[in-house]
Amino acid sequence: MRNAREQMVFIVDDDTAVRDSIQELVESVGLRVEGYASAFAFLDDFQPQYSGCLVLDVRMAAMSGLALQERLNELGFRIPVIMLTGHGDVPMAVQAMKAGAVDFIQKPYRDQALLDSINAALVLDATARHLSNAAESLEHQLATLTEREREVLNQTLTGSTSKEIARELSVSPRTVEAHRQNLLRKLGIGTVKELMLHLVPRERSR
Amino acid sequence: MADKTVFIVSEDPAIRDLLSGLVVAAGLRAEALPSMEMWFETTVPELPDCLVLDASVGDLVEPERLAEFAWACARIPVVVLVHRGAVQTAVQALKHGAMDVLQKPLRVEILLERIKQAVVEGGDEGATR
Repeated sequence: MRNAREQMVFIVDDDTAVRDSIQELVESVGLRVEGYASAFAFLDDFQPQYSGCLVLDVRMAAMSGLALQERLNELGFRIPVIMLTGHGDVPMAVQAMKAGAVDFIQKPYRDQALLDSINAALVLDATARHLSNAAESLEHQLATLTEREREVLNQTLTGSTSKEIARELSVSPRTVEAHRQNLLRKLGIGTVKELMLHLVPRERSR
Repeated sequence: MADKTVFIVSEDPAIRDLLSGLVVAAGLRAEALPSMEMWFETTVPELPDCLVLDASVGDLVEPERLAEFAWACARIPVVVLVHRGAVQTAVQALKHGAMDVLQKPLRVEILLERIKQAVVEGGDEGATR
């Protein structure tokens, strides 16, 4: 069983020589790597919680890299994809990039160019996972707020001052302050400014 | 749509004339410039509704031009034209936020469709991105 937290570089290419050479290159910089000879072998093995990136040959027998990319999109798997091809053209590159590839590299590639692209993809995946975990844990924390704390939170987010909220809820400004301190503590957030940074973009995206 | 402006950036005067004519015939305003540099020197914050950049002369290679390009892409839909086979330029353009990349020789009806899409929907292609 693979440790899902450890980042992996997955390589799907039906050319054994290419696969081996990329594998060697990636291992040489201390990254963990797993090679697959077909899109099907990869799909059989891959779990959405695996983190890392995918280096994918565009042209393969049976299921092409573009088809695999489409399949991953359908399945909702967000792993960053780097497309690799020996016979790239502009429409193919545009298709892959529009489908969400983070890069499209032509063979013969420069080792450093591929490594740079892999490193960028790994950072992207780690960041995306971190943000989605943070959003999830914020959801949990929001669920622990009392009804009053929620009211204070909502009004704070629309820019109301303690005095205005106090008047609205018919309580004293000090009570509002106390609710606010409690809700900040429950959400693990230090200041109202930080609260706005975390929650306002989220409210807008709804 | 008559109040919508399309900027056309190309070093090639023939392309500038051709594309300006195409845009005007479609009922839009066209403004043609020989380079991105010229645009960033002359235009203060005025932004067109769409930018068509002919990148077949390597406008997207210099880091400074690339930064301006990304700045523009973040604000308006940008359609990039590249030479046949210019895969790296196409990838570069899309990485920095181009709405679409079209390869020369151009099919003008496709370019026109993209421009109209850009000025009407602000470049939002819906499901494709």
